[in-house]
Amino acid sequence: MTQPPTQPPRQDRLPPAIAGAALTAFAALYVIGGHFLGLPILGAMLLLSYVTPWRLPAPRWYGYALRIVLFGVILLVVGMPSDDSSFWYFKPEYTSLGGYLLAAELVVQTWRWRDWSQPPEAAGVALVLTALIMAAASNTFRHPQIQKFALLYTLLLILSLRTAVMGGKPPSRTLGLIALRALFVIIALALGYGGVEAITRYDYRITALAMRLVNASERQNEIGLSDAPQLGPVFNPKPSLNRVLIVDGRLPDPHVRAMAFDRYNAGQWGPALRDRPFASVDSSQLGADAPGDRARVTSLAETSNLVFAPLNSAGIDTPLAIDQDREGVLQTHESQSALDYQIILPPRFDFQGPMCAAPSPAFRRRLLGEPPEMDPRVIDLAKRVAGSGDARSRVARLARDLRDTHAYSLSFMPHGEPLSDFILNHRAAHCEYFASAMVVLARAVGVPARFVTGYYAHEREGSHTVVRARDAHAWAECWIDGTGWITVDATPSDGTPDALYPEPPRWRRWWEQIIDLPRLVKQWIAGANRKLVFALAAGAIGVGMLVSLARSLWEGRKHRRGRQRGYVISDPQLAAAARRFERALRRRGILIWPHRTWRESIAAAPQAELYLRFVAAYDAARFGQHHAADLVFDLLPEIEGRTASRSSPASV
Amino acid sequence: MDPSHDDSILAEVRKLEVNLSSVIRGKPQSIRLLLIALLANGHALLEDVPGTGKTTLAKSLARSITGTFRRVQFTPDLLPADITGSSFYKPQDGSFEFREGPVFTNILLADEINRTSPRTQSALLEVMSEAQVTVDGKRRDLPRPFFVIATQNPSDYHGTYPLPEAQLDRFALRVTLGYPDHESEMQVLFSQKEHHPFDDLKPVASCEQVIAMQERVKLVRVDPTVADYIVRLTAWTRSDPRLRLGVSPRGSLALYRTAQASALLLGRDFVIPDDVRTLAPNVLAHRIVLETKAKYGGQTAEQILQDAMEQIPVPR
Repeated sequence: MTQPPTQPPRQDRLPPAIAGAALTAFAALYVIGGHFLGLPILGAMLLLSYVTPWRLPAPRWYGYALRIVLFGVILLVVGMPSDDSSFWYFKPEYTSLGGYLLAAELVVQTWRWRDWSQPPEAAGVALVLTALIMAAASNTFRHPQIQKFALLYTLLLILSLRTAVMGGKPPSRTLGLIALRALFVIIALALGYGGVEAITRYDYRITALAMRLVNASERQNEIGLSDAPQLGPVFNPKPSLNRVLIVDGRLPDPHVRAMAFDRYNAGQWGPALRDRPFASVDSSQLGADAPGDRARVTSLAETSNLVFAPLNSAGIDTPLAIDQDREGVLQTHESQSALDYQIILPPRFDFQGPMCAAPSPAFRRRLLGEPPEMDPRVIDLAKRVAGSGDARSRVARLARDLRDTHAYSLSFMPHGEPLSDFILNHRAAHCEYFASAMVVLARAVGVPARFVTGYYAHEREGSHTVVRARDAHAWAECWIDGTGWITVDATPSDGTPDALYPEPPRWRRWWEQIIDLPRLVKQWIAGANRKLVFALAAGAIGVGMLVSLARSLWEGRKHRRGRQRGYVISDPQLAAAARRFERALRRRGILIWPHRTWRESIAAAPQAELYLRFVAAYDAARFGQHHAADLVFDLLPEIEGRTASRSSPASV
Repeated sequence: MDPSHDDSILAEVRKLEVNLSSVIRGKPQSIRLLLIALLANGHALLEDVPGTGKTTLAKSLARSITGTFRRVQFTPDLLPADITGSSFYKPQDGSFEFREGPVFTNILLADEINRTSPRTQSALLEVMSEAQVTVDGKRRDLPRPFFVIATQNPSDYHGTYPLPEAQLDRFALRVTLGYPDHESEMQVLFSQKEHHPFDDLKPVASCEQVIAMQERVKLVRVDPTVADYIVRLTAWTRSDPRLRLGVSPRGSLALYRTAQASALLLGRDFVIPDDVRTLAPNVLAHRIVLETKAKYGGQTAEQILQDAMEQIPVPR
């Protein structure tokens, strides 16, 4: 009855082994991850929790306020990770930043009022947090130091696992248990070391796996285009619904060109891209500053560096280095995993933009070259159909005749030279035949022409145009003297190459919208003014701090009122004595628990007998309203150590 | 307050304590808790495994007081009328005569209380809270002091009926005896070598003295801050999500009274927060009902009370 409660006292300090593991993880992150000054401060805050008994009570609003402030400060100091066009999930900046935030969270957890000796709940949280911080540190860079940190961390982890699993139970000494514990230690050591090793050694693979999981279907190379198209029996045999491009804005011409070819040889167009000379062009040559509406293009697939744009675009605006060949084909100078650029839309449909360079006389001859294997009747036919008149009307008549007399078919079985067979006999085939035939016929009537592949961008989705691999298409481009390059599409059914393909299913659209969210956020951040973003973040944190301050003042007032209503000590002299007593005990390193009585706090202290005499006298005066205050004040100097030389007074 | 009067009352309580200690070895705390329940004018529930001396303790207390003592062995076929009493037909004059049941006594031992059906257990509800019996529409007061000691065995499940919450709430204290330590158990063996020490017990207090003690307990000073602490403790249990049922105001009152009794036993005429804190598990734990999730999550009422005591600031 007179003893303090029988339960063991709450262990409200983070077990030292876990604290050690956490500090090791902090140190690793500090040394390896770029010497962020916040980490030593967080470490100091963690250690500070050992000195003071004050704690954040349970999950309360100021716990969250503290988090907002800590996280906000870290985000502001470390800064938002620099944005670029490729998104690498396991980038060092991202992992370090994550590590800092986790470290801040661990410190907040340390300062919470909780019992660390209760196994799973508390210590488990701390262990998982330290493990994640360590993982962030080891994944940041390949660094020789990580091995040392990992060893120390693993040792401390084993020590802390004992606390976490067994709680505050007294250690047992049976041989079997010791053996079991040894086994446990060995397994933990192996697991810890193996884990760190695996993360450091295979971080690229982990990254690749994560990217494949995140981007699931988007990272395939099925773009439906070949860099040396061949007139085969079928076109685009496996139409894929993979998205290749997203165009934000309305294109006046749905023909988005990718590649152009000028040489036909036995059913194959060439030369292949890799055999062509490319020259770098600067942004003024690309018309980056041209006036006009802009459409943003985002590529979602591996597009072998091609830059897609309609032929008559007024300009291309991109920070990347761009190369161009004489056909007007654009590609980035360096390999890019994903592209993001803007097209400046043309004021007229036949506007001559950066892709419409006039052909030199030699190139013009090449563009008029008739394939030698072509049936001579084709040329006769072309001349007969085109009739007389200017170049534009001749081309128009040829295209109309092709569309009227030939049908669309996805398969084609040629006999002999395929193009001649298509034009003269076998009058049903797919867009590549129509485009090739158009080029050959135009050339036959003296109009320079080339074969172009690209996409027919017709699928509207809100304000966007989605281009899928199955939208691949081919058409012709003709040079009209006095006008320039124009797009000529002779394929029937309004040039819709995928008329026979089904619509993408609805679930696919939904899935695409979900996986587009991170991209849209990233684009918003990249597009927004960086200073504005920072100002917004700082403003939000500032408002959060102000709200926290206001609430803490409000709660403090309520708290003080509550104290006045409940636990006020009516006698100011007694209140002063209580304060002096507590101060004296604190100076001696005896912790005064706000939630326990003095007797419980001083039970194990040295000189407990002296303190108990004081407490008994104080209680009599305080709760019994006895006039024992004299004794209270007699004992105080001795407790405060002012008359330490004097032995216990005889008067007591 | 007359200190000499205080001393005499304390001396009587001490005599009771010594008397009980001579029979129940090594359990001064349980004895003291039982006396606290008596002094606080409450009732006590002795809960432990068989053979730890529950019934012996209850009988020893009864024998130490010169009052009437009745014992009811709660069996599954017991009926409410077997406890409260009932009217019998008198053929001589054709009238009905009320025959008092075993509750008309100073100390009632309800042995193995959870072996009878809730129907019969309910007969004790009015008895315990109001010290009266209403039969055939007529109210009959019980003698004073009236003290119920119930025993139950928590480890048995077959053939038992758990006490309803309303019934549990009427016990001021729940006392667990636990096994004696090594020395005490040896003393038990030797002390019963010839005959049971229980047979040597002599009454050391009269009913009037017990009533005087109970009246004295009510005069023990409770500072408003200590009362505030009691209410904060009980209020905390009402808002904890792990608890389905918190502590009732009756529980607050019991904690208040038992703290007063405890202070008096310790020779103080004022209650300090330590009294409240040491008694809280015994007074409050049996009154709260855990949520299923907490119960099967391995938590106990004592742990949750400990949490409450670790979170509510103590007046000082």
